[in-house]
Amino acid sequence: MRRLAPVALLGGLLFTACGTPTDDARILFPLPGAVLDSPVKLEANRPGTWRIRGEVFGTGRQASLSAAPGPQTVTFEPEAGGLVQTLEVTVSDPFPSGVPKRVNVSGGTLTLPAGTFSVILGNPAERIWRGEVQSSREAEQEALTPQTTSGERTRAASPPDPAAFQESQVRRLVQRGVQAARPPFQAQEVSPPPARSRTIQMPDLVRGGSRPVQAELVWSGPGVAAYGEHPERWSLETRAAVQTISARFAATLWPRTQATFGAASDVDGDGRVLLLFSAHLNETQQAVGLFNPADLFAPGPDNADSNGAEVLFLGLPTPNDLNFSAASLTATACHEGTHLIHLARKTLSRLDDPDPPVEELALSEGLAHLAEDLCGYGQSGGNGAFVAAYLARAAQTSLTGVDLAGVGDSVARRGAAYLLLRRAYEQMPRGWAQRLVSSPETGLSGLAQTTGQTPTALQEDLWWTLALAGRLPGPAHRFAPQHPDPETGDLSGIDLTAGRVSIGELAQVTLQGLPEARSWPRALPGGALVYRRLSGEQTLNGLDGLLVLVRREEPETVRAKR
Amino acid sequence: MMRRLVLLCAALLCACSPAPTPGTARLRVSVTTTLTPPAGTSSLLAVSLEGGDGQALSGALASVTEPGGALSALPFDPQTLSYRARLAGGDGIYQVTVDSAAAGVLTAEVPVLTLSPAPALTDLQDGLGARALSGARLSAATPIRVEWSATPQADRYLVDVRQRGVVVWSGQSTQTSLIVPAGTLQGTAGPGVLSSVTVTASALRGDTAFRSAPFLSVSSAPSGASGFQVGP
Repeated sequence: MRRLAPVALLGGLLFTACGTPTDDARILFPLPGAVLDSPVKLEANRPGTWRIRGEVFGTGRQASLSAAPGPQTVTFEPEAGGLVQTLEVTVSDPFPSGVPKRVNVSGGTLTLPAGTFSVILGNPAERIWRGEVQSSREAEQEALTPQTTSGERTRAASPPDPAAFQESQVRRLVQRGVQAARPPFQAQEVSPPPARSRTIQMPDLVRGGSRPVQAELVWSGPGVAAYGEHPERWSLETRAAVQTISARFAATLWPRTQATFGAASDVDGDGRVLLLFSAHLNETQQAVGLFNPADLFAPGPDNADSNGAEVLFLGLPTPNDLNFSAASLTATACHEGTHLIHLARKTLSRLDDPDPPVEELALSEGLAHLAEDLCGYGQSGGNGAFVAAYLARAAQTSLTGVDLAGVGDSVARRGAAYLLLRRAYEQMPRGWAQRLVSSPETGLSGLAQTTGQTPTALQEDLWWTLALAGRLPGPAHRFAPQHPDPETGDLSGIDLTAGRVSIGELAQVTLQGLPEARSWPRALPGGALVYRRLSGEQTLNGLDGLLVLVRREEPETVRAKR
Repeated sequence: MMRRLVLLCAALLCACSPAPTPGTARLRVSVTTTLTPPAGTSSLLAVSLEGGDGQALSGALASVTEPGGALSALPFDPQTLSYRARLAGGDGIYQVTVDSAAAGVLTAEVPVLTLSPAPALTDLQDGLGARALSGARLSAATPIRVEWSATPQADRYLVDVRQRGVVVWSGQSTQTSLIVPAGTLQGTAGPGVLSSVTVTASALRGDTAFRSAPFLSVSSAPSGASGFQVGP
């Protein structure tokens, strides 16, 4: 016996490891009182038999219960004997009336009961989604074909794309290690008076590169000096309009822009931003205004086009031209000034980092269009045209990437980015815009970081806000009511169902919310959505990779639509 | 009872005793196959040749014939003391041949398996019913159930849950769901703690100890990370 003792001990250990468990059988999931969608997934720590109202619906450790909405009592009888467990749960209504829901479509299938539903299919990823959504009620599916041409005469970018050029230019300068022309936010001393005449390098939107412009001072005021190219050729009306734009920008809009997004850089230490009004932009018709990011970087062999100064380029005010109206140009000054602040605070202040952040073009443009709105040119500046273009082509427009034709920056995408940022601006406390502009994160990640929302949640909120425009009384999924700007009298904000909207005195667009698609698309760019209203019991297949949002229409809404 | 115990211990000791015959050269082949969309599959093949004295043999001519017939040389890697190559071939039996003056010609037939598609997260739900895939924040105080789609031929699934980029819980299952115990994750009020879950399908062919088979072929297919927010 004594010699066997170690063996017995070893055997004892072995039996402890492999023998019958000592802990009681119990239900691990869900917890009592849980409210769950059907089918309810249940799990115990031991195998057993699952019952509801005495009927067996599963055996083993796991079971799945399909039950009608309402309270349900589940019992679990352990296979090895022991106490029968009881669990009280509530099976929820999967589509409560009037509540927007994100639906988990495991297996790519959505089953809708009888009723009328608003259904949004969105592509939350950056890459293009391709597939085929099939409905049990629809025999034929029709692909939505991409539409890449637009007839709008707005500040649309057209090849060569000045905005895209700017983003790649910043990346090139950052990668080459070109430094800021001067510490960007160094406190300025007493500002010297602006030179009456100076040479300014202006980007050439036709040939590329830049050309020297002999610029003459046409107006100066606190923080702003305005120059003109060949002002001696301007009419009296043009000169007066330029001075009015410059004075308004200096007195109200530039201080307001900096208060919203943060102080601008002062890389040349002159304490002011320069405006250069040039007919080159009117003649080329490729941009109403522009900001050349190279200007904030030190001039040198790698950056020959730099002015080493804060310069905003604007076209000449022209009567009867929607793009070059005084309102459009003033709004554009805010727009380009915001690009300047954005670059300075996000990138220029981090040039010593190993990998300085460079904002994604879509977010940069969206923020610049938000700036037009906040400057008091929400309507006359033309944002309505960008939004209308987006609403008409939401299924073909990527939020931050390229559309189905490979086009990045577009009128529609700018409209989308403006709406996304306007929504965040309305919901976030004061100071959010400065945090976004100064954040080291870029794109949707920066927006997520500064709002505390995931990128998917941000898109989901925007998509519901578009689809339910004009149909919800409360603040959820709804843009704030527009209000007149105290300085300009223009309406600030956006009303997606405003109907006919005047853009200045020259043009009108119509905003009627997000139109319902007639069929499901076979491709959706990243961040794009398609919206439909479906009636009757049906099953949708092929939804893998899509964000599926469903809202059962309330009876009143259904009646109203009829 | 005493007799049974003695027999059991004998079996236990037998399982732990060294199997190979001393003085015989032997081959060990390991293959690690990973599915990494969109690049596809890649397999790392490593062959170690051990002489009868237990020392690694470095002067052999080693090669592998892929299922399609392509023949590749396996150069010796002095860092790992093995003959290695990265292969882009697909599923099938790979024929490994090692020819050396000390050990002669040794061969092994190694099955390589590509697991596809990778598992996809189908549900992430807390004990009170909140579903992350429906945009809800999960409660850290309740158990959290993770469910994913099956990957054909997978033996088991490894689940990693990260918070703030750090793995805070790992588990494995032969089924397509797991429960993260209540109180495992951290949760905060407001937006919650950003968390993510990854599921990796795994399959193993051969013998981890290279006894019943001279090879070990491990395949894996990781899902993408799925983000979710965790509240208290």
